[in-house]
Amino acid sequence: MSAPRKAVFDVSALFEETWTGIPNVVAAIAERALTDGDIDWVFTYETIPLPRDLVRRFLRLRSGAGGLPALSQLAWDRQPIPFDEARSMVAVFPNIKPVRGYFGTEAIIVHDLSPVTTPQFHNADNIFHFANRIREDVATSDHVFCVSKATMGDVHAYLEKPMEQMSVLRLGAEFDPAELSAGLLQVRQGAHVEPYVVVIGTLEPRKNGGLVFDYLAQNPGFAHQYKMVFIGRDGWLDEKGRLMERLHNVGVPAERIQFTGFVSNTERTALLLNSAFCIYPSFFEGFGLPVLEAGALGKITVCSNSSSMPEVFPEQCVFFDPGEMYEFVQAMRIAELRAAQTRSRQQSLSDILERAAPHGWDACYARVAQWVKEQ
Amino acid sequence: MRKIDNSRLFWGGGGEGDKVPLRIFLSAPAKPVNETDRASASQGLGRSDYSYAFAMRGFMAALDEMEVDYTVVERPEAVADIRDRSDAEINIHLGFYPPELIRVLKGAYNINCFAWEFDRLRSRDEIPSDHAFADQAEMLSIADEIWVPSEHGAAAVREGVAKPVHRTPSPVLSNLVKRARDHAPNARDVDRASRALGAVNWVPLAILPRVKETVEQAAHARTRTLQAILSELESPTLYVSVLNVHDYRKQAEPMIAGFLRFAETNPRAVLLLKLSTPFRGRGLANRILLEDQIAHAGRMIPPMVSERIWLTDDVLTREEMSHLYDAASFYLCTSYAEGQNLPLIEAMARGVVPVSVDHTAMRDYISDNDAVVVPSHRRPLDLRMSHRYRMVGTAMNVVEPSDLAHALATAQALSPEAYAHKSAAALAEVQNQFGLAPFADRLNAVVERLAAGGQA
Repeated sequence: MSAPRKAVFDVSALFEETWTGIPNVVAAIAERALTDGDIDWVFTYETIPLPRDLVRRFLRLRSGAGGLPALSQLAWDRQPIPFDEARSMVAVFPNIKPVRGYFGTEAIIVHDLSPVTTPQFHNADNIFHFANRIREDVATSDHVFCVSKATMGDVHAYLEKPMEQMSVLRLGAEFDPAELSAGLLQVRQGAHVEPYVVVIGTLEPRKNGGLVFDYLAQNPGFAHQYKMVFIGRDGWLDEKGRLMERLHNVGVPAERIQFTGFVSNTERTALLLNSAFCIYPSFFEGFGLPVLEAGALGKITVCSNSSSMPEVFPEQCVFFDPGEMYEFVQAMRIAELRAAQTRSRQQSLSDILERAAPHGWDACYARVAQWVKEQ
Repeated sequence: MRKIDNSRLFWGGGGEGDKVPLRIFLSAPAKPVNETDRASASQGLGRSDYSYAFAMRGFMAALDEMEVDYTVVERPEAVADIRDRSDAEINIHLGFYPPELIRVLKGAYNINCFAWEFDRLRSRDEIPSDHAFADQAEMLSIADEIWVPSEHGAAAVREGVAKPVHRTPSPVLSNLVKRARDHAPNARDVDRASRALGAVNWVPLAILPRVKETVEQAAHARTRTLQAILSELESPTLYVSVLNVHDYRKQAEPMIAGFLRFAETNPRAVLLLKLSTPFRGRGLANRILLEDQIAHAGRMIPPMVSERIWLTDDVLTREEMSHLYDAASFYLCTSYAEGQNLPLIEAMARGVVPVSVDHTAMRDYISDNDAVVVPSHRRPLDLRMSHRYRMVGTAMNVVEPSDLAHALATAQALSPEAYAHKSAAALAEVQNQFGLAPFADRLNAVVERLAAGGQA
């Protein structure tokens, strides 16, 4: 029996203290890689091999807190993988590559090209880090995993990567049954949960949360019917105060709008599960994981029809053009009706787990593992 | 602008139902400028890349004229694949972008329209950054086809890009005079037009670097309407030029110096410079003219203070622009290089006789037949142009003030018959080259090729 294929997975993103976006993707793949006996995975910070126990600790804590101080010592103790050894290895980079053409075969995961196609939504550091590197990173990769068909279309159109050297790596959504039970319990015990609608995503211009404020300013009655709960970190600074002032002026009390800030997975699941429906008005996404999470939980999402979002969970979405208030108003009406008809708040734990199962991370990891084995 | 048809663009609009033969989509970095009122017109003028929105407006007017339905897409990059949304057999996207900002409409046949004024694209050695979109040739090859408004620009682009490149200028279909001028504007014509420009304020030229603040304040104190300016002159002859004052290519210094020299012996001549700048209304017209068109680290700037040259940075509506052209006998152009030069073409469409260089884009439509040609001399890009355009060694076209003064004297001496001939020839050139036919023929050829299953 031949030795398992040796492959590198760059888990640098796990060193971040708070995990959102890419660290969550890396974590999901790493969790499965740790238990895969068919591939001899080497987990690295760039090219420095990491002890598996350190990766396990990060995954257990869902945080890379304390990792960076240890990294310096690791660099001395373990040294980067030598070039000659790297030439016989396959490497998967979950974002911008620290090395190009260093490993025998290299793959990169491209989440989106928005720092170059929609730079107005990114800060200068982000644009510099991404825009100056991505073309060459893609050109020097034997394979490009794109998190959506839309992203793959962008990589093909703008960076001219041949389609046969790319594939879609669909992201996943998973729920801890204990977290789901906790969320469902709030309803089952008959606790009064005031009707609310969830707006998902960091409060930043790209997420287009301002559209919801414009809607409420025109339809203040909606805020009396439903509380609006914005889930996500705050990146709006003073803009939020200005928008709240505007709503106050049309008679929407401040307490009808809630900002949760960063919330744990448990809290997030509970908030989604007990909402009337969800809103995801983003101007541009590489994938749109919150749409998948909401859909897997049986929630209707009033969802932007931009970029990748229509391919995430279309059967559970009501789409609108994020620049068109008229379409948004129509979509809100339809969503309210559909949400009332589906009675998603009365679903059972097994219903949810059954519905969510096909959308988990296993398929995502399987696609990566399959490519590695084919090399 | 036509309202976007949501039922068509909405997700689910694609699919296998009944198909229409063709849909045209257009996009540009900025929205089309609405020039019907000042507030709307001021929304985009003078900002970078606004000329692309102007060019798009010309194509929209042509599609209206052809009765071809079209949709302006504000964010083509947000559409994953237009075939999922459009119900058409053939989807064509006309994008109006400089190479570094190109956005394609995925799933459509992408034609990028852009203007280029130099003899070649930037070479790989001249790429100004590591940005993924920095290489002009690489970015242009993203499109299926490239339309360039001038033969000069098309030739320059063809050398660097493997995709088909065609000369297809932005159509100029509106605001053409009904018939050519049979004489230069007389006192009555000028008076009528200047009354219609009563809301536009002009300041005299005031360039004196050592005391620039004082002299600019003095110029500001002399702010007048055109009617007030002309009331002090008997039978004035108006010369006009329209330029983005931040645009180095306009080579305004020899225009100003040459005109001042000409004006010394022609007391009835007045030059009106309509300047575009996002800093409008702040009394900075002379300052920006000095800093972006005249100042040069390598030499002193001579005093240029005169009530024979007047500046405005006001936003003019399309109607006011037409009145300005109608008052002018001649339009001046001394640019180093141009990709199309729409203001010059618009002036010709009103019957104004050009006093213009005939290189780069102007080679297509400026000649002794329809203009008084200003000689120019090819020289390598100077330091400022090299720095601005990140190119070394390619050519620009330099005008000497004495050449312009001589051309102005020639223009002033034109007989009424010669003036009428040039005016008619200028109008005819606009109708022939920038009318509907060149665009319609090109578009129809693309549609026929795509319908037959062809690509580029």
